[in-house]
Amino acid sequence: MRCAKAERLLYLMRPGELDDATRERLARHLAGCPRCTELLARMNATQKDLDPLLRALPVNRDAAALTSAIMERIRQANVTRSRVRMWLIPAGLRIRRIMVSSYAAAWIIAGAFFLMTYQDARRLDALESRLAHSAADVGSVHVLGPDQLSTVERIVPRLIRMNPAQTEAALFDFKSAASIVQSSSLGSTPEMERLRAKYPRLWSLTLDHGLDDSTRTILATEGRAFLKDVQDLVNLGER
Amino acid sequence: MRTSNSTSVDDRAKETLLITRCQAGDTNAFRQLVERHQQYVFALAFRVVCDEDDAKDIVQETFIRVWGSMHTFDRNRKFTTWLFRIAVNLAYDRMRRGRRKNRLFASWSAADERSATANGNDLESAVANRDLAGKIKSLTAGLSPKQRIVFILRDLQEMPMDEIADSLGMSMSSVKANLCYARRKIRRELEPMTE
Repeated sequence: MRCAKAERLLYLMRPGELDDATRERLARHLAGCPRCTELLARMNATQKDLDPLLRALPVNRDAAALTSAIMERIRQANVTRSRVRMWLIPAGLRIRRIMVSSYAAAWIIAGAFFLMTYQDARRLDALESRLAHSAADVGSVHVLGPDQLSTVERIVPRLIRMNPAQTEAALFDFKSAASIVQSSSLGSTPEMERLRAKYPRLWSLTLDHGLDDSTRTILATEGRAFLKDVQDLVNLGER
Repeated sequence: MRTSNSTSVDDRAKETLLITRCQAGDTNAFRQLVERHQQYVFALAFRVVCDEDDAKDIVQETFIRVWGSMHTFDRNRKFTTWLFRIAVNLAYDRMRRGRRKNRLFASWSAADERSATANGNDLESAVANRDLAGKIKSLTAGLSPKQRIVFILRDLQEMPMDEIADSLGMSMSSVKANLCYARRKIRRELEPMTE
């Protein structure tokens, strides 16, 4: 190590300023260099002059007053901040809360409405589909089975709500006639062919377009007469 | 001199608790933090700016900033490192700007004298502070601002090297170089007096 470098390092001999390896090299240099050793001695002498200064701690007069002043400024800052919150932030937040609540409420209402409508639509679709099949089956004298009838019964209230007078009567007749035909097993008898000729509109019902008004009228009028003829037929057969 | 370095584990735990309370907005806890660290921050600021009033301003500003940013403080870090960094930067800025320079070089104003004479102890403290400021100023007069701040933080405040580098945004080698030049200049200033 050269003296110039050693001299620089002598100024960094306090703990934590030099790594161990450098400190060791410096110590080896000092052991063999009277000039640098003398410089170190002079540095130590001046350091003694510095020590009182290093130990002198400035006096913080009125520390309590300074603390109070800091706390007062913090209090003022907090007041200002809370005023800002009161006048600006809450207004924004309030508007945002109202908007969020409104959106949420709108979505909930829309969801509920959609669910109700969807369920109603599904029930009606199912009913109309079954009625369509059943009415078509009337033509071939394959009518509503017990499951289908119970389904119809469950959904009747909704149909009644759609068109109370016509639907109720039509369904009643239709169900009754269909049940009797089914239980009598009269599907392909000549009597049934006669009934088919007598009630051509009932036989031609397909309900392809759902339970419309004309269909309801046919069911309401011919269904009841058809029921009566079927009952007569059954009674005759039983006798 | 650096009281914060000797804090025990209990003290650290207590300080962490205080910081947690401060982050929840507890001003009483913050008052305790101020009381704990005020002296060190004051000493640091005073030694850098060599003026009691400026030092008090810096202490106030430091703690106001700490309070304002308390919610961003990461409790896994050392609080004093963060606190001292704010104080160092404020003091360094004030020193570089040379604000209130006239007062700095004539630090014994009539108002100080009037207020100090009202109390004997105060007068003594004021005189001690003035003498200390004068000594520091004369000792560091020939130093550049960087050399001066590094010397003050290291030799007078006994701050660890890595904290100095961190606070001033300097590399460790730059801190060492500035410290080395500062000490050499000061030794050369002192040597004729010693001889």
